[in-house]
Amino acid sequence: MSTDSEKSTNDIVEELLPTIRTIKKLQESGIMAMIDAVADNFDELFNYASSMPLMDGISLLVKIAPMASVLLKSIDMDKLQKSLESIPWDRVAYGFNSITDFMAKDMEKVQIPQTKASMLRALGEIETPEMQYLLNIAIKFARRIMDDMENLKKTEK
Amino acid sequence: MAKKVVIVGAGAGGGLTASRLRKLIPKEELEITVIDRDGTTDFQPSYTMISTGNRSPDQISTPIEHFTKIGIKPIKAEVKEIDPKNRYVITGEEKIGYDVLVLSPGVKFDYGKFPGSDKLFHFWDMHSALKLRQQLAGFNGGRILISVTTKLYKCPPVPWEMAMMLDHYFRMKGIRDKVEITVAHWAPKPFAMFGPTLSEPATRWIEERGIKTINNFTLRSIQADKNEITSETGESVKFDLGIVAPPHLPHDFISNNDDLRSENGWLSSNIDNFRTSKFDDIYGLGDAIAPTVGLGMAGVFAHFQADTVATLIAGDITGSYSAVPYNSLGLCAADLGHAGWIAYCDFGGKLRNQSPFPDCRSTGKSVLFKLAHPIYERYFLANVYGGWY
Ligand SMILES: Cc1cc2nc3c(=O)[nH]c(=O)nc-3n(C[C@H](O)[C@H](O)[C@H](O)COP(=O)(O)OP(=O)(O)OC[C@H]3O[C@@H](n4cnc5c(N)ncnc54)[C@H](O)[C@@H]3O)c2cc1C
Repeated sequence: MSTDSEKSTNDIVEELLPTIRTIKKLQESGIMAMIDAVADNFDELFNYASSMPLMDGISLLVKIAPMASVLLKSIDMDKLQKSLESIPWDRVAYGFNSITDFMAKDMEKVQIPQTKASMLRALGEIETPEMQYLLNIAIKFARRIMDDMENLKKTEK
Repeated sequence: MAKKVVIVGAGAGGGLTASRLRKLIPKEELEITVIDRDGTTDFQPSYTMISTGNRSPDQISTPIEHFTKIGIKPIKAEVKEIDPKNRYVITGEEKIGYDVLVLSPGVKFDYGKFPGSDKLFHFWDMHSALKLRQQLAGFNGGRILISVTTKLYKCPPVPWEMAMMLDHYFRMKGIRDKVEITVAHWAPKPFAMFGPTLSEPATRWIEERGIKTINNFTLRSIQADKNEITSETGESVKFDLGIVAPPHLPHDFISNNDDLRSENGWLSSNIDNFRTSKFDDIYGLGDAIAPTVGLGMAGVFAHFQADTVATLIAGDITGSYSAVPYNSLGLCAADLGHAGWIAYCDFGGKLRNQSPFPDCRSTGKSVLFKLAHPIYERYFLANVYGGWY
């Protein structure tokens, strides 16, 4: 094989690397397995999916599409622009800042609880440590937003 | 020892049963043989497009030799006789034994039953679709007539569908004003067999395209030399190009076999498990059973029947039953030339004699739906041959 063609093979491999990495990630995440299962069972999927309700759904979408386009045409773009302008973007941006700030600073502080909280014991479904972790995040996050908004109000006064 | 399944017919019913079974049971446990007279699997709904020049034969037809790639044995031969008591299929050359037999040989075109039908044109098989293509290519104006010889024929809506495709064809050719297109059919209205929900819009579209219809026209005779056909009531229609569906009849090896045929001469079967009434080890599906079970002749029926038959046979062999129940939905992705149209019907009520018509609805017309036909075309052939086509 000539050096030129070796080079081009290397180039190809180089170009393919991001794709290979993505495939690897898809494999690790289980998404590939999911796609594989769908492909494996496509015969049955096609059979089961060929049903009156599903076809009715498609028909409905087809019928709605022209209506939606009429609705879109009837929207007054000037009005829409004005109302968009009237939104207090600084507040929205402040809220958004709170989110990113929270993610950077407070996220790590939330510990995955090792024991199950007694309060949650009754709720079987959310008894897992992962669920408690998510709940803790939600509570902390809500509190943080409320605090930030309070501060904003104070400064505005 | 590996069991032997023999499948007669590599079309929609037989081809799909074979590939489904191969996926379900490994070669060591099951030997699958497919016997086909023509030696190909054709996507027959595209025969109309062969005639209008939008497809070439190799795009819609796969030689059965490709079955070897997925571990299925293909035999190109015509089955002449079946001996169900001794479990043999007899071709001209061979006597082939089986443990389970699947029959999906479709229909026989018996031109002799309708003198003159062999002199006209049609698109119900590849060879004829190609002949019609030549004829259409050289057609520069005149009267085109579409009709059918028997009440049952493959794809009930196709005469009107083809009329709309020809309307588009001649518009594109720039000579639509020189061509008169007429459909003379036994039905009281276009698409009448599907009930008013489909027949009303279809009739409107046909009128809008300037296509003439002669309804309640049951064909009695063809005077090919005079370019004329006559109905039971004595009404005659003249034409320059006659496109007439040939007589669709059951194959002799079925209608002559008391063990296999039902009272009407077509293959015995039933919609619960598709076994013939006298033999548990023989399954019948597709167009060959359509008149027996009360369905029309459509590939979509054969497709869903193949799902059920393959999973039932796999259950018989492995002893674990999780058969796919028969889905009696009928789907039709019609290409009308200027647009596509998807109609779908639940035949459950009709099959149980609860209603005279299937419960039919449609998505309406859209250019986008023209894609449904080629997508299913590719899926069908790839699916039968395990991706090799
Ligand atoms: C123009 C046209 C348009 C259509 N459009 C549609 C549509 O839009 N939607 C739809 O659902 N259906 C449509 N169909 C119908 C559909 O193609 C058939 O219903 C379907 O192919 C039937 O499948 P089958 O297995 O019963 O028979 P087939 O697919 O006809 O297969 C039968 C096979 O058996 C073989 N054979 C016959 N006799 C013997 C013998 N003695 N020995 C060995 N082999 C034998 C033949 O060579 C053939 O390959 C259309 C058909 C045509 C012709």
